[in-house]
Amino acid sequence: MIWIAWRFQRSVVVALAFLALVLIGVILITGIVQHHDLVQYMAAPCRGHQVRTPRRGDLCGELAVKLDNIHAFNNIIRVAGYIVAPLVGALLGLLAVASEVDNRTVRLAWTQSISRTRWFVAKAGVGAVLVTMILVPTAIVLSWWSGTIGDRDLFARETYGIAGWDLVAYGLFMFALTLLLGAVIRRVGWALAASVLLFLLAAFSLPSQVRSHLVTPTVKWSEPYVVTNGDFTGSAAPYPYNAWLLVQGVVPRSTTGIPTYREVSATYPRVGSCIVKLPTKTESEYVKAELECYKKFHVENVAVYIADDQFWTLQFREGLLCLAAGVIMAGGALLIIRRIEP
Amino acid sequence: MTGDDLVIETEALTKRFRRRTALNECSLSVPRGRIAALVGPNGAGKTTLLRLLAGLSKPSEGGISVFGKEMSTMNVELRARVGYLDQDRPLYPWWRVREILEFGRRINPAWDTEFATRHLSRLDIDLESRVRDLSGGQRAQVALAVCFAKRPELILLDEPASALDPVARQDLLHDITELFADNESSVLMATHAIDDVAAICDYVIILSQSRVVLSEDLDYVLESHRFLSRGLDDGVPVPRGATVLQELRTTREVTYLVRLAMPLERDGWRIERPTFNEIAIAYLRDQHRSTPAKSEFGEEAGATP
Repeated sequence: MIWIAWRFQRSVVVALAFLALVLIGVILITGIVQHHDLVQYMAAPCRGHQVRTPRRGDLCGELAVKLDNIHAFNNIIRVAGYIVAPLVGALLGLLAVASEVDNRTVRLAWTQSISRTRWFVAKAGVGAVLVTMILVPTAIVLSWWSGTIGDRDLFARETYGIAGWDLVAYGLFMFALTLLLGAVIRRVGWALAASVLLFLLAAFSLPSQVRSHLVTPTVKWSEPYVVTNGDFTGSAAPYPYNAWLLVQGVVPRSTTGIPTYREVSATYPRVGSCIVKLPTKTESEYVKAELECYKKFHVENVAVYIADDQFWTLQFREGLLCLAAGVIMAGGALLIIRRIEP
Repeated sequence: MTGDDLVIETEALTKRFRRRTALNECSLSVPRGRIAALVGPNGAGKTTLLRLLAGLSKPSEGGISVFGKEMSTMNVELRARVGYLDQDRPLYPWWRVREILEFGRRINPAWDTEFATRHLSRLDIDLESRVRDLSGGQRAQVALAVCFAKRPELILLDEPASALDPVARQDLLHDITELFADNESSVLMATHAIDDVAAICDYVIILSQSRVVLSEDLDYVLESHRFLSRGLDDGVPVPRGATVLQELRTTREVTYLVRLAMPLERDGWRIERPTFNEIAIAYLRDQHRSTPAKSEFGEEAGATP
């Protein structure tokens, strides 16, 4: 049955593998060149200085312009990186179930001496292995590229999904989604359309609704002012470079649990209404009034963030979540397959 | 007839698709070792019945047994003993014929590669050809080879000769009888081409408007039906035990196609043997009228003798 599943998907797998290889090649070549230029640009004598119109023979200026120009190209790679996983998952998922049911070739397979369960497990298993085999090298290269080029932080929406192993998990999630919708809808075109819609919905809601809850963020408190040469000035709570900042602002120190933006938003008007009752004609009077109100309400600066050393933990947990959802969807597809009357 | 002698037995089998009833309380049986024809017009429920027998779908009501065991979509053991040729000949169009045979070999324990290869070579079908490049007749032959090479004990064929030219049709029917002879299997073949039945079948089931109207040995069917003719003014009643299926009137004569329940006494009737074609059409017409034909003694047409 493994041979049959492989034979059925062979030509599409070859085409997808070829596409992935082209993408990997482009990323490797441009990444190495870009990395070389970046290292040269950041070292002496250039030290990263900006030059928009270089003079002839101005190495630093030329490097600066070259690196600036390649930003648009890097965005194309990011988009390609985001498309490759759902594309591979969707095409192989559709081939495994929807295409067979739609073309009625299941009537041939399901009247032979094998159970529908075995048929599905073989098709889904081989498909999942092929998705993984195509996406693992792609994910490794994209992850290297994201780290090497390093012009965006890893938690940024446009980078996070292609900077780790979650790329593979997204592909497998899409594969399972198309298995399920293929079994439910039984038409290739409609199953693809529904899968793309649901995947986009998941892709947009995952970062905001789920991702930040997958690890416990760090909460950093600090005084809402600093004293410099006897003068008070307001300050923001510090957080590490490249961390994923979730919340920043002032909240009462008595806040239990992890402060949220809602609490920050609720604190500012209270402090503001206190300040307007005090004299604030000069800047120093305003700072004093501000500090007095902070003290009155016992508020402090807070920064809630996920440090970059938690990147891989987050990737691992989000990937597991996608895989678990994928297993559930594949199980649902199997239940439907056992009941289909083609 | 005992249950062991029957390959197919259904009891009040009903299949509904939402509001449409495709099969309505069908009870029938097919003895072992026969080539049975399933005859009926389009939409009579032939394909639905075959898909139920092949384990592709589940009945809405009633029972269905194959080799004395209940057939279901999950019964792999039983499905291994049944070969099914679908009406649409579902084969993978991009695969080579050789790969289609390999597909069959890998999932059927009793697969006979030599038989399949020999059968297709005899028909000059190149094993390296892609399925999409084959003609309709060749595709049907490949599908038939897959069906027979599984070495099934029961073969279900859904319109095996449809969409074929007359020569290819004749050859295919010949192949089926030859393959049947080699295999010693039972065959149930759905067709609306009544001529095919008389050519190769020895058992007949007529389905009309989702119901079984006849399920009998072909020889018995031919023996138990007669045309009875007399002059219009003769006033001779239809013999006792004869059920009128069809009445044909001319200006001088009336002719009845009757089903006989007992030996016929001549009694002034001119008696002729009908062909199976004429009998089948009478049954199908009778059902289309929706009101069962009555004998002059009030018996319903199609009643089992």
